[in-house]
Amino acid sequence: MTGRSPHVVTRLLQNWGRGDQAALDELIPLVYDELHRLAHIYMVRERPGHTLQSSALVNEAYLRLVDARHIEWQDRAHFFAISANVMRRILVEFGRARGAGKRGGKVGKVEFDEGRVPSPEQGADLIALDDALNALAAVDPREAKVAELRFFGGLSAEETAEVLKVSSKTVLRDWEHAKVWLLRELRRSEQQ
Amino acid sequence: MNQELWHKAKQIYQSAIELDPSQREAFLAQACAGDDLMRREVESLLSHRPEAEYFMESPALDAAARALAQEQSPVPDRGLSGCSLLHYRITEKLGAGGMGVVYKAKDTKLRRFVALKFLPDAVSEDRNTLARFEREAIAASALNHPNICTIYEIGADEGQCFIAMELLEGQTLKQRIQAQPLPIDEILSLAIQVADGLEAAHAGGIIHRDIKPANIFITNRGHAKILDFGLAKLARPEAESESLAPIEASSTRTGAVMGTAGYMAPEQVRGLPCDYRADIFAFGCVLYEMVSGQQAFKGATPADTMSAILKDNPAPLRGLRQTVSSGLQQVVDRCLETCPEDRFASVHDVALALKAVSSVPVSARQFGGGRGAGAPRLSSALMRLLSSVRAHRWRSVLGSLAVLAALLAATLAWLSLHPLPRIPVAAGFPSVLALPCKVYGAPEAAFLTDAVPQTMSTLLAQVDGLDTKVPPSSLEVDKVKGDLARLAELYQVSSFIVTSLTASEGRFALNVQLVDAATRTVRWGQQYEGPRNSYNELARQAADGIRLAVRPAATPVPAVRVSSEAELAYREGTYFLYRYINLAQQRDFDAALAAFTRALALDPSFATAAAKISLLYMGRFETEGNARGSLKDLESWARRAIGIDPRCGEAWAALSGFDLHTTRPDPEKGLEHAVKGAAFAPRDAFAASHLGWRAGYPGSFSMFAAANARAYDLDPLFLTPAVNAATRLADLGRATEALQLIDRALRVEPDLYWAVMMRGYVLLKLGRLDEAERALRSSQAQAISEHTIGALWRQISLAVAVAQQDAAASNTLARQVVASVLDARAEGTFVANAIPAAAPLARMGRTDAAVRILLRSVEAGVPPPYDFVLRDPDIQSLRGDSRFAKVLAASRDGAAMVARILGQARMRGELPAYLHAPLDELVQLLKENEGRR
Repeated sequence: MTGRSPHVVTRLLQNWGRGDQAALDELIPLVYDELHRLAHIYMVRERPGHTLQSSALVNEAYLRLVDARHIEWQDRAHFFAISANVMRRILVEFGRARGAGKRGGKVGKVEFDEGRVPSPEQGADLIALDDALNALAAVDPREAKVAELRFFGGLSAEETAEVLKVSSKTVLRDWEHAKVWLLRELRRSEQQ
Repeated sequence: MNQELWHKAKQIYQSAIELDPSQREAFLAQACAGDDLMRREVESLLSHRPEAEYFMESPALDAAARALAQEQSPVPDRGLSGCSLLHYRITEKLGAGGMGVVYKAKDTKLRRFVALKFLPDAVSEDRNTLARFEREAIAASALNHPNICTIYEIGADEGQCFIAMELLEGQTLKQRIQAQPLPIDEILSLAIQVADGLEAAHAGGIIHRDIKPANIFITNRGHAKILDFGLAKLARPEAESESLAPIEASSTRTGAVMGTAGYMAPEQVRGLPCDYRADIFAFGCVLYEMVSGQQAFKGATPADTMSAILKDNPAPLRGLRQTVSSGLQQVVDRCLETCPEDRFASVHDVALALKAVSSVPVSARQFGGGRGAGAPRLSSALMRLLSSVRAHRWRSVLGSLAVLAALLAATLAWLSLHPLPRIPVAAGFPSVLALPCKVYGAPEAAFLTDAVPQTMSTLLAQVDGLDTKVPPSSLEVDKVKGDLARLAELYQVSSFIVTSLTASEGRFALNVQLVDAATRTVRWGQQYEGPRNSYNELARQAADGIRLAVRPAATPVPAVRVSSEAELAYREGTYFLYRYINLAQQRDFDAALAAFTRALALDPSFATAAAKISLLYMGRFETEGNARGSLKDLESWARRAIGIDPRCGEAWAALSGFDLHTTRPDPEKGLEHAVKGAAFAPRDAFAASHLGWRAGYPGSFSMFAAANARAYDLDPLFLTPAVNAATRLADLGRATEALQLIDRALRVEPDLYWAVMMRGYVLLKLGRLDEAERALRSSQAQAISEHTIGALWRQISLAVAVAQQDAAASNTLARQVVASVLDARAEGTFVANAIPAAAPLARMGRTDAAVRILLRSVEAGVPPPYDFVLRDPDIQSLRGDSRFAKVLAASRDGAAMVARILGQARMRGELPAYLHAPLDELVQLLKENEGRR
């Protein structure tokens, strides 16, 4: 134990929520560390047969970054909203940094079998997704928020409902629609 | 689309999906009422719906981490020396860099030597990344400048994508800096050349994005050449080791994310858009390093480094090298300005400034101030602080439980005044599931969240006529996010045991309620209080209270044999063991080991505590391999547990697992151990799953599937056995059953990528090729390491490609699959998983490859299951190959051995019921095919 307060990220997120830009600078390396830790586990824990592969790993990572247990009940919703937005900024930049810009271009000189070998999509398309989410927010802000909270914030439908003060059912309906709409937008942007 | 139309379209879409697909058309015609635009919009959305099923279901952090894992997987050495590709003949390997392996090759057309750089598979296999690469590289190839390494051609042959470029002789700037300090004159000369090259690139609208010493080459003639334009935007694997330079771990790790940690501009780190001025910043870092011999920004971890970039001023150059002119210091400072606007306006200006410094060593010219005073440095200790947060994701579970608890508190108050009449128990055994306990108290008491339900369930399991489920750990319950209805459905229980415990100053207050799963009403409740060392007695009283409420006629719950302290230590160990297996954190391993050791010290006859230590080492082996001799510890602790108690099932199961992980598995002994494991620990999911493995290879898929399905019944939140069982059922032609099983598992964790991938395999076996392909694609499992899940992904993709008669893809994938299985380092379990890949290979006429895979499995001690080799239609086409007889004989001999061992176990009454029918089936199969080899 380091003897420091265990709520650094919580505090940073709250500071950022109050407009302290420097807090984001401190958060970025923390998220990247977590990202690397997860990636490392994915690389080493791959023995078929017995391993317990589960989303516990990801849940744990989110919890380490966004731990709402020490937040007063009335602040929780606000806190979740901030943390989802911060995660979105940081992860989209991650996507941008690994060069997942707009797709396009027919492969010219390279004769490559493009028909079959499927490509890693969600990871690489964070930027296109970010653009599509902005477009969604322009026409349906709540639905865009639902997608942001769930996908970037890692929140459950119930938690999302708590943040947006709507029913879980509404969240699930928005989510279903958002996924289909966003996917179609990504497919369209690919073809441009 | 305006908001009104949007909402109308959304509404129509949402109504449409609730309808049966056959009714949708009529509904749309009516709802859109002649508005064609609206109708097309809704139809277009509907057409994307199937594909969106798993889209975005896995959170962004997970997707990003998997992409990162893919990038960091080591680049396989293609061993291409001596090969020919297009018009290039490869002569020797020059080295491996961040963006792939580099070979020297002869261009047979133009008769010159070139360098061929092969891109990592991650790039070559992803056509989008490839397209991006292509675009960038074409742009970069247009750059014709003496200080930029010229790109001749981008090509591909046999699925290998490469760049042909100018062959340079010399060393990288990184190597040069490491060798000895550079004289200032040389520094200025090289820096001006690099700036000239960058200027040309920027003029052409191309930003490098990853300027660093390793990307600057110094030829033997002293020319500087910038390498890898256009590559920075692509995936970058972890190791960027040049063949000649030692790997400098600290500077490389984050290279996979963006730029390279030590050379990234603050705006890059911050996530703002960046332009050519990021190159100027990186250039400043390089210049600093050339002068001082050390990186401008460097922390213990990539995160520290990034934090330093945002906050720190690098140490003044003067302090590191006295002969530095103030002019040079100012050039460096101005390049390193945090704010892009404060840097040089262009690389052209940098070059001018350097030329000025070069001609007037002690220049009086001023280029602006240095970085302002930085904020205090963020220490690495702070970075690591996060990992000290003791946490498991309780917020959602607690959300639902909190509501329940409030309800319970009110009910409890009422109950104390009005004891409930006993509820008549419905026909059939009542079944109970103990949920994780809500713990109030010090963080050290966190383990009680699992300990209380586990102790109580162990006690209740002794009550006749009560079906007590093995309680899920808190980590497992998290998978369903506190959804009690889902838990009731998965576990098929009529009641939950809901507990809370307050731990303070050596005293426990335990609150226990029995809650009806269907109605969520409290059937019974009681509070127990006592000192910590009466824990077992509190748990016993609570369990007996439940017994009285549901099975009053049953024998009272007996007292616990071990001491409360030993029991608590054991439960604490189990809690951390489970965390370790799931989360792979060393401190959980240490905590588990300490707790189990304490339990054994308190009670030396505690065999299961010793058995759990062996499982802990198995977890470590499965996490990190055998580097620390985990296998040896696994075996010795299992044997020690058996020494204490020969009927310790967990220990026998661990011993069987140990055998499977050795390089020479002993199928007979392994199976005997597994039988004992499942017989002595009948409620242990792990033991059942193990028995499946040992009775499957050799043996039959039908036994493998039955035992794994049983393991899943025992622990419906442990999905690995369900997925394994489903996959093998599909191989047996029982794909409909398989789909039901895997869908049940996926309802628990819809975003479990490898289960989504395996579902693709099941769909393929059902002939639903498009859906299979979609599942494979959306699983993104190819992103995972070359050797295991990624390899499975390729095997399944191969089967899909063959079914679709896609020759090109089949050939590419077939080559990859065969190479990975024939790799001598592949483990037994890996080879076993690859056996079904022989079928698509056989179907595409690659008889030799198919037979070699099967022979490899024989050699690895995991011969193919007998029902599979006899029944799979594609495998039958291999019978013409003379070597197939050997495969068939090994499979048959193995199956006969399995039938014999299991037959003996049945005689002793040790064969679990779920294997009776599959055993009869195997015996029958052996009889029918007697003499047929």
